[in-house]
Amino acid sequence: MVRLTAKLRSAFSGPIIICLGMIGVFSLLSENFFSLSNAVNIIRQASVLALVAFGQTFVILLAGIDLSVGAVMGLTSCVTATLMLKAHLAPVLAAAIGVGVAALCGLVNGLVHSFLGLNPFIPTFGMWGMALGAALIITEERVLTGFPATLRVLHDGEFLGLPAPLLLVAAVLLVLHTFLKATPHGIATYAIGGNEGAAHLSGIRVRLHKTLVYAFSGFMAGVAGVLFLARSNAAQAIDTIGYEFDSIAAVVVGGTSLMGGKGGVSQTLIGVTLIATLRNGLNMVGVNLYLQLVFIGVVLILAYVTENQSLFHFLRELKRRLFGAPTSAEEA
Amino acid sequence: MKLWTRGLYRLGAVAVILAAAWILVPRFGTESNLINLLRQAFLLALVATGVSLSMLVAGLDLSIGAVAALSSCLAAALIVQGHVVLGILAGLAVGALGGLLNGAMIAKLKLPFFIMTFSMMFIVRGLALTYTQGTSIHGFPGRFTWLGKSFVGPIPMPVVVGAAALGLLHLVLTKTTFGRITYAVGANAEAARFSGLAADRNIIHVYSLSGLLASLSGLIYIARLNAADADLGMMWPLEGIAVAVIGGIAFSGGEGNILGLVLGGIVMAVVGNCVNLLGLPARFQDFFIGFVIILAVLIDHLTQKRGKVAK
Repeated sequence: MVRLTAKLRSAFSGPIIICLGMIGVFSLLSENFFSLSNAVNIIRQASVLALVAFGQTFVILLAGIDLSVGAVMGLTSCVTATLMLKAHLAPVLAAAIGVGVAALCGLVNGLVHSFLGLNPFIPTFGMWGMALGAALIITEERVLTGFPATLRVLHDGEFLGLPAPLLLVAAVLLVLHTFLKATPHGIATYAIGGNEGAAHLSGIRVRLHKTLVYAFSGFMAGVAGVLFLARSNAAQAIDTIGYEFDSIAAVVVGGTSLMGGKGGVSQTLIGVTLIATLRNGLNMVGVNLYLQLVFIGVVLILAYVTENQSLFHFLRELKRRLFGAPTSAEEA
Repeated sequence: MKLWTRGLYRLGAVAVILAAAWILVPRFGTESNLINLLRQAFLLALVATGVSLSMLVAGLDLSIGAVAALSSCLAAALIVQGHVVLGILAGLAVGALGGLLNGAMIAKLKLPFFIMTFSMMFIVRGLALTYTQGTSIHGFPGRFTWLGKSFVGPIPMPVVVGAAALGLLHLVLTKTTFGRITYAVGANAEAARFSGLAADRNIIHVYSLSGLLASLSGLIYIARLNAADADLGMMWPLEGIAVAVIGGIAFSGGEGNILGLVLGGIVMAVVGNCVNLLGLPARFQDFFIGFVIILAVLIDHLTQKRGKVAK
C-alpha cells in the first residue's frame, strides 16, 4: 500500500500536475481548447520538438549538452530541399542524405568532445555556427519552396485514424525507452552520466559511447528537421533556430538532471507535452504573443521548482529564520 | 608564471590574426576601419563581461541580451522626454534588479543557472516586447547619444567606457575581497562554503553585477544607434560566450582574467570585419565564428596539455 502511494506520488510529479492544471485552466477559458481536433493539433506541433528532445535527453544523461541541434535541423531541411529542387533526387533519398549530414555533424561534435576532452558546450556551439552558416550559404538566405509533396505524409498522414507524427513519436519513444532501460548500452549511458571515472573502470568504452551518443543526437535532429520540413513545406535556415533551447528546456522540465545519470525519454515526453500545451493554450486563449514569452518563462521555473521541491526547502528555511522554529535536525 | 605564458600565447595568436588580416584583406589597415574595429571589439568585450562574471562562479547568464533590451527600452522612454540622467539610472537599476532576481533564485532556491537565466530571458524579453509593442523608440537628445557617438581625440567613446569598465572590473576581481571570493566560489563552491565564505551572497552579487553591466552595454548600444527596440541583443549570450571562451575564461569556473575579453573582442571583431571587407555576404560570418571558436579553444587546450606534461 505504501509502495503504491509512493508510486502514485512519483508518477504525479510536478510537471504532470502543472500540465493537468494548465489543461483545466485553458479548458475553462477557451471552449475550443478541450477538443479532439485541438489535441491532434497539439500532438502535431509537439512531435518535432519531441524528436529533437529525445536525442538531447541522451546527451544530457551523459551530463553533456548539445547546443547545435536547432541549426543542424535547419541544415537538414535545407539540404533535403536543395537536393529535391536542384538535383531532382527522390524525396526519400534526399531526406536520407539530409539526415546523414545531421548525423555527421553530431559525430564531429562527439569526436571533438570525447577525444579532445573539450567541454561539450564549445564544439556544439561552434557546430551551431557552422551548420547555420552552411545552411544560409546553400540556400543563399532564401526560403526554398515548391518541392514534391511526398514527405508531407510524415506530418499530414493518418494510419488507423491516428495522426502519423503521433505514431512516429510513439514508436521512437518505445524503442528508445527499451534501449535505455533494458540494454547494456542504455544502462552504460546512465553509468557514464552518473560517474564517468567509475564507468571507465568498469570496462565501459566511455569515449566511443559518448561519441555515438552525440552522433545519435545529430541523427535525431536530422529526423526532426525532415519532419519540420514536412510540416512547413518550406525550408529556411533560421526557421528552426530556438529548438536547441526548447529541447534542453523540455528535457530539464521533464526531470532529467543536467548533472547526468538521472531521467529518461518518457520524462522528456512529459516536458515536451507541457511546453506544447502551454504554447497552444496561450494561443487559444488569445494571449498576446509577447506576453506568451513571459508565461513560458514563469512556467519553466515553476515546473522545475515543484519537481525538485526546492521551494518547500526554501520556505521551511525562511520560516525557521523568521520565526525561529526548530530545524529539522533538532526535531529529530 | 604559467598564467603569463598562456597570456602571451593568446596575445601572440591575436597578433598573428591581425597581421594576417592586415596583409590579406584590402582596406583592413585604413585608419577608419581600425577605429571601427576597435569600437566593435570593446563593445563585444563589454557585452561579454556579464557572461564572464557568471562563468567565473561556474554559472552562465543567458539573460543578458533580454535584460539589456528591457532596461534600455525603459531608459529610452525617459531619455526621449529629456530626463537623460534619470533614464540612465533607471536603466541600470532595472538591469541590476533583473540580475538580482537571477542570483537570488540560483543561490537561495538552488535552481540550476541554465533554467533560471533561460526562463528569465523569456520573461524579460516578453516584458520588453509588451512594453514597446514591437515599435522602436528613437530621437534621443545629443547629451545622450554623446555616450555612443562622440570621440576622445581619435578614440570613440564606447572604447573609453568599455576600457574603463573592464579596468575597474579587473581591479575589483583581483584586489578586493569580493573578487577573491568570486574565484574561490567558482573553483569549488562547497570548499568556499566550508571555509566560511558567504558563497550564496557572492553569487547574488555576481549575477546582479552581470545584469548591471548588461544594461550598461544596452545603453551604449542605443546611444550609438540612436534608437531602442525590444529586439536588442538577441545574439548577445552566444556572442558573449564566444568572446569569453576565446578570452580565456574557463567554463568550469574560477579561472580567467577579465582583461582577456579585449583579446576575445578583437578576434570576434576581426572575423566580422573581414567578412564585410571581403565582400562576403553576412551569412558567412556565422560559419567563420563557429569555426574560430572551436579553433581558438582547441589551440588553448593543446597548449595547456603540453604545459602540464612538461611539469
